Amino acid sequence: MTLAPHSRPLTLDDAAHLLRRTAFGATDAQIRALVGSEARTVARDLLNFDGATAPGNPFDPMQAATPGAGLQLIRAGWLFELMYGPHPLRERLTLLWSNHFVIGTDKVRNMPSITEYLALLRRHAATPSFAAFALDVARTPAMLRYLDNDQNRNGKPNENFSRELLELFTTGIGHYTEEDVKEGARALSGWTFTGGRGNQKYLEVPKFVFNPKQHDTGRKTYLGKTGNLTGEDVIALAAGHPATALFVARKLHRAFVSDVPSDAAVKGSAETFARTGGNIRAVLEELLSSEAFYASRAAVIRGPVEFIAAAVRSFGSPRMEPKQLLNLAQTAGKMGQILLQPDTVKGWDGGREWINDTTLLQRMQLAAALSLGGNAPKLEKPPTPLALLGTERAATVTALRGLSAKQQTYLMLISPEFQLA
Amino acid sequence: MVGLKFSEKHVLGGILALLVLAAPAALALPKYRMQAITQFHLDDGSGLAALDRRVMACSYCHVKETGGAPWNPFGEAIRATFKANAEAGGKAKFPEVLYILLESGADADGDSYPDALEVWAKTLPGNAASKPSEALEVVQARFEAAGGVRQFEPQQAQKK
Amino acid sequence: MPLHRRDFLKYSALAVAATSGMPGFLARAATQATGQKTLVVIQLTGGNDGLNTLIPYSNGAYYAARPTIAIPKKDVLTLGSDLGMHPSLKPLMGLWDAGQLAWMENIGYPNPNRSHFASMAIWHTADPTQAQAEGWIGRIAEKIGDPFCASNIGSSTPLALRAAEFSLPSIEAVDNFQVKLPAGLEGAFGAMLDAQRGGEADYLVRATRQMLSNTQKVQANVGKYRAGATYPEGKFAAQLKDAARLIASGTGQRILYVSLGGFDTHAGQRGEQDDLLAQLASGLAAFQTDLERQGVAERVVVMGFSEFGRRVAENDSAGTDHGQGSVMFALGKGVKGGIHGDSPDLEDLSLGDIKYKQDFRGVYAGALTNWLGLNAREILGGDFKGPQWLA
Repeated sequence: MTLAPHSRPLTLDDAAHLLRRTAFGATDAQIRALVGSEARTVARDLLNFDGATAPGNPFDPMQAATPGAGLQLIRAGWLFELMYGPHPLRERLTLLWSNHFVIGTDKVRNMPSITEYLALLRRHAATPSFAAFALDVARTPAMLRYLDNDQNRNGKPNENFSRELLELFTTGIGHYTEEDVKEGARALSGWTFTGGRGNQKYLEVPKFVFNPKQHDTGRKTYLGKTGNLTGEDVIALAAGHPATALFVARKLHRAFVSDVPSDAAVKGSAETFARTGGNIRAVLEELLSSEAFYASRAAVIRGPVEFIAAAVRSFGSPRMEPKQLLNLAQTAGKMGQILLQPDTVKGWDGGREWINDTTLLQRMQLAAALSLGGNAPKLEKPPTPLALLGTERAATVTALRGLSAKQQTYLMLISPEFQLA
Repeated sequence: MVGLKFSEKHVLGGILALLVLAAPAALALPKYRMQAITQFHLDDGSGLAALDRRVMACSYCHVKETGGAPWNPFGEAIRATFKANAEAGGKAKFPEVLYILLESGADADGDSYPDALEVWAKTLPGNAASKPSEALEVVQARFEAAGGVRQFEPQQAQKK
Repeated sequence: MPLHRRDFLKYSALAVAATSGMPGFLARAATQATGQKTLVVIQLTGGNDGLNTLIPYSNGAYYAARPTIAIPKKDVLTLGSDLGMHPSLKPLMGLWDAGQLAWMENIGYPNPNRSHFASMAIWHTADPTQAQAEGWIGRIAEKIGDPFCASNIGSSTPLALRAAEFSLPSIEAVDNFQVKLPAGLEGAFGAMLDAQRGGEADYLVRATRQMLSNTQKVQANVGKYRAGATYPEGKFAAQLKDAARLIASGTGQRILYVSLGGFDTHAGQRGEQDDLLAQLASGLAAFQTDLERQGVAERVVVMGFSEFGRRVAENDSAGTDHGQGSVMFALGKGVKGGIHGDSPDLEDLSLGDIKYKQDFRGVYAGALTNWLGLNAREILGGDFKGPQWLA
């Protein structure tokens, strides 16, 4: 069973809901422009993005004075795209994939490899083939380095990537054995990269290579299949495994439907995933125009980066100084989300895990800086309750009476409604 | 009932709130480079100067793009100034040493343009191939008109 | 399916949450744990020159190797027949005289690494093979199941305080742990929280109320603190003062971590290091006085290190380059004062550097076993002998 479609034309609240989930939020006018549209058409339009990026991005990691400076430039540069880019859904998906096929800048500190990885996530953001996406990511020097497959040699296996491929990237726990992890590592042996190693070569471009001398050519059995399997074979087998459909569908629902998605709805998307051969675009088009999607309001706690992008986009994307963006990227870190550096390969758990007393305090302080502080972005028009809260009938609205425009913005930014999508 | 009491008069947004959008923390960047950028007035306030090697590459003083030994003639001149200062019993730090050197009128790369002039003209004082295109006297006159070497005095000294 | 390692923290954090309603540093701090011993770790970032810190002033080889930057014998604060302190450390003389200052000589580890990054990682993970990804203090948090048992005072958490699945918190300033609502918004804020909601919105309201209550408790506790000493100017001293404030108000950390940077003295070393050591000494002296006045000096010791020492011979820019073995220090009433180890041997060098004779993990082991009452072997992954620096 696939997902039932949302059949009514979009209301004001529907439109606000859609843009909160797919565009980090939007201005009052952007929301109103979608009223009366047909859900499927809008979803298709949103997914119809290209490679265009925000003009005038001031952050170029290839000009970094040091690796540490480069990482700051990469994070701020991505934040710029998240806040100002023409395709927020592509960026939302890129953020999601960076939290699926995780790499970490604690270990990967080569600028071209991180840039390439990020570009790949964008290119595959709504990929027609999840398997092709997985294969491409697996061969990026960033991933080879992060999960040590560059050290995986015939007779000296390193199982790190092979394990996470199953546990975190495809089937999830419970659908494979330790034997599969070992055999997978054998098949992936010899995949490595040249160039760009070491702190000094942080600007040198690394390149994927297959080293046949380090490849174990013997017979392997992986997820029930036996043969002289290659790295390509095991990635295709893992990506094509029935459990992968459910595992990936669940990730999409976590991002777009609810922090606690319903099993039935996830199953619906998983069936579409399986039926289309892992076509993420098809799964998303159906999902973003489904009844399940429109019925699930205020059910996703915005993460730090979403919080920041949501505020700025709801403000109408006012320009901010490069140093403010550098600062915001650091602030996201203090709120628990350093872009491209989750605490573990598992990624950020999200949902209620974003919330603890220190991060809440930080959110309040950031809200004040964005609305009341002397360096707050200058706005032509103050953001409306519809833009910040998702509905003109939000619980917070009555508390706004008698406040100045800036105070209203502040109060809305620290409201539970703003912190939810 | 909310159960909150706000006993103090509260400052707008709190101290941290104002810091959030003020200036990013410089995370582990080479110290001398940052000091020189400040001293040479190369920081445009965008926050990028600290990060961008176009503002000042390590090869301003070092031979290699990644810093460390060896040094170019300007880097060697700074080193020699450090040593001379210490031999005379001084305890000058980097900004003072840099100023002592610039003030001396030396020309580390021997391209006939003194180091201070090259710093001001944004050419490389440690590379003879990089020098102002105009005649020495012309650049010198404009440099003096713009305040001369005193503009490179260390910050504390300027305040005095 | 065994409990996955990645889920371990979630459960331990929830264990904290069970008593407070929500996992979080403030919740933990608001429970007010007093009476436990605290270790304050001081990191001197950049590679402090041990030879100009604890000076072998009777050794001619020292003066021969450092014609311009050696500390003249007349300036040395004599501690014994062959070693003495840098004059900038004068504020610590009182502690030395009281037997509350310990120096540990020739500290290092096998196969020394001269990269700041690598060597610091070795000290942080307590693993010279660089195989460990977790910090030694992070491992303590894992072992005792308390993700808030240690805090860094500063802006970003060092590797030492990283566990496999989480980082221990960094406190930039204790004063930031409070909600300062802009004037005129109190009523509106209350009204906003009071509005009827369900689902995740209700969860966020409850979390916000919990946070407000925790910050108030923490501020009430730290608000009782009155500094018992005049701290010098500067960030380092301010951070030590925050450490004293946290200890005195019982926020419950077993370990507090404070860093002082700038020790990478490749050029003009005297100007730089003289100042830094003065900051170090005056800060620590004030800290120790403060702890006395607060009545908590008995349960705090300080242990200081740097990622490496520096080359014995000075370089051509009146500085020193990266070296190997160096000194550590410890101070407090629980410390066995004196110099633990021999004066460095300047005749038998390793590539121009002092050879290490005592493994830093032995010093850590002392802190873990004899001060914090923890199993050092479990945390350090082996038995390490070291100087008996605790009384």
